[in-house]
Amino acid sequence: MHSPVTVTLRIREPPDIPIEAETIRPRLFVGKSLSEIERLPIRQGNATRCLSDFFDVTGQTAFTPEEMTIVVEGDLKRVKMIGAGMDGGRIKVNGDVGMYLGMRMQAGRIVVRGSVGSWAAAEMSGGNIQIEGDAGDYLCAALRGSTEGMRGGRVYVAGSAGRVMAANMRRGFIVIRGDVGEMAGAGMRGGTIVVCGRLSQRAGVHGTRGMVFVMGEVTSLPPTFRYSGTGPSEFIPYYLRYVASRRPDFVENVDYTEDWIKFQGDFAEDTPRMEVFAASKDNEHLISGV
Amino acid sequence: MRTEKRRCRTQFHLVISIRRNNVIIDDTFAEAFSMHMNRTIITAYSAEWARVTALEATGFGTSVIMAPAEAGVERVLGPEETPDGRPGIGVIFATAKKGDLEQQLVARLSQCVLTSPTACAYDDTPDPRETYPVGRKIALFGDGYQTKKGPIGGRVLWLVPRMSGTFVIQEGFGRTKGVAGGNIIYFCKDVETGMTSGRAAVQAIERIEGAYTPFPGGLVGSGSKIGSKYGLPASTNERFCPTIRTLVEESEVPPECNFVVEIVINGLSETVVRRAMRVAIETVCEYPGVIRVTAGNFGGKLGKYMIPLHELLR
Repeated sequence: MHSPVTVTLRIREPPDIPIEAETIRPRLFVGKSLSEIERLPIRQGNATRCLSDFFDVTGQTAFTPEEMTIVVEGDLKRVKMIGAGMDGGRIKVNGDVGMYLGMRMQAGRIVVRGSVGSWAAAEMSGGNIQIEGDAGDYLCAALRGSTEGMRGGRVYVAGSAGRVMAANMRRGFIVIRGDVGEMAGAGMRGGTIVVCGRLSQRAGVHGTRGMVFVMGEVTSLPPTFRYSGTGPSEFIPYYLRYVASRRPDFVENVDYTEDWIKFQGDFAEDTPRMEVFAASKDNEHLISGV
Repeated sequence: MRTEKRRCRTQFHLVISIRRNNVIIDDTFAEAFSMHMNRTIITAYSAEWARVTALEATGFGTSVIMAPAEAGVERVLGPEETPDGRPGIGVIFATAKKGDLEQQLVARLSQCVLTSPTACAYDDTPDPRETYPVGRKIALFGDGYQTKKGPIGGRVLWLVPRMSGTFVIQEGFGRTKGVAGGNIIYFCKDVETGMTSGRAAVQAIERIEGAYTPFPGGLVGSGSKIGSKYGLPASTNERFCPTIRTLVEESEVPPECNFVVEIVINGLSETVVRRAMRVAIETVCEYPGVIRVTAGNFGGKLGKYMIPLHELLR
């Protein structure tokens, strides 16, 4: 369902120095005139500029974030922090976008018709992000020095995701239709990740809780993860059906008789309760030496 | 279908009957009551095992005269209809007292679904008036190894490790108000006619969402009246007993009848109970040897709902 009231921001040309556009979020737009929106501050390097220095602003605003959609268009690869801290409403990004999209997002919905840079959805605690292209490194991860990663919300990536995805994740739900880079779920302490493609090496290092379902091939798992049996699952089909209901293009059919190989870890930690489930058909190599 | 006037020899007044497939349908009504109900989906690795589990979970769930709940299979669910994509069965549990429903759910789901290899349980109560933490209580069986997940797909789930794998149970199970005591009573030539037509009717009711038949196989062999000369809460309804028709002056049993069956129908709403009663009448009337259909009531003095048979067939 689309919000009825839309403000469109079209970037005129890519900035020479990346800009930090955390003011692009519905809460800061509501109740303002277009000229007030144009004067919203944007950081560029060590300078503070305003939105209209980079964007053409059209449309109209609403009185609550929930009624409000912000559409951002153009070459946005050097635009960072769109939707950072967002707490309601919708943002639609038509094209590729820079780093920190939806960082620390609390509520609302972001749809990106393109790829996103690194640190998208970092430390997200609520809301829903749909990325139709690829995601860079550190998707849904904890920021540097933080022990708290993703705390809630849902993120769907139709392409692939880079390295160190979901580091220190505590709650929430991530689905990647493509492949995922190395060290996904490092330090994971909760939440659920579904990988429809392949999962690269060293996933789950330091993980203590949480679940990862991998429908494709798992390159390898850390030696501190232990084989914990093979068989059909009572609950993975539940998750996959949920994904299929939201994104039929991610999961074509759910076979409840499919076997899953379970690994438990990380046994280098005090509470090794993280679980990695890999579809048996592509992952016999994981248990060849067991 | 045709209408006829028949003198009822017990009540000495004219009863307008209609016929369907030459079976007499009495101009009477079923009397039904409110009960507290929960609908649960039980899934398992196969359709057959889901039914085995459902029958166990709804066992000893006939009448609240002495059973602790009125429970039964609502309908069969294909893998595409269940939360986890496995074959399943919808079941409904009903209690007369609000406070008994949670205890019944904890007891039945823990003793009959948790214990059933591969079986899992999800709440499916429409518009619940309140929700009980049944899953959270049963998950304590995990003794510290249980995991809480979600909300996902509108549910909070508990994953409990067990010998057959993982028991998945939804955290909250709902309560709604339903309708119990819809019924038909029909007179048959013999056992074979009564049982064959009855089982066909129960199968037909199983295709109606929201309705269920709580008695063994859906059929009642001992319809009762309220009270007893011995002070019991209920006793045999002698007016419908074929073997003592000569002793009972008010007997309803036609001369050619040797077997009487009751089908009690409960459901999540009066509408579905009515629909199921209609299907039951239509089904049994297809069987040669079924003589007459009537319904049980208390003269309209006790139940909140009155469901006239003729109204169903209009």
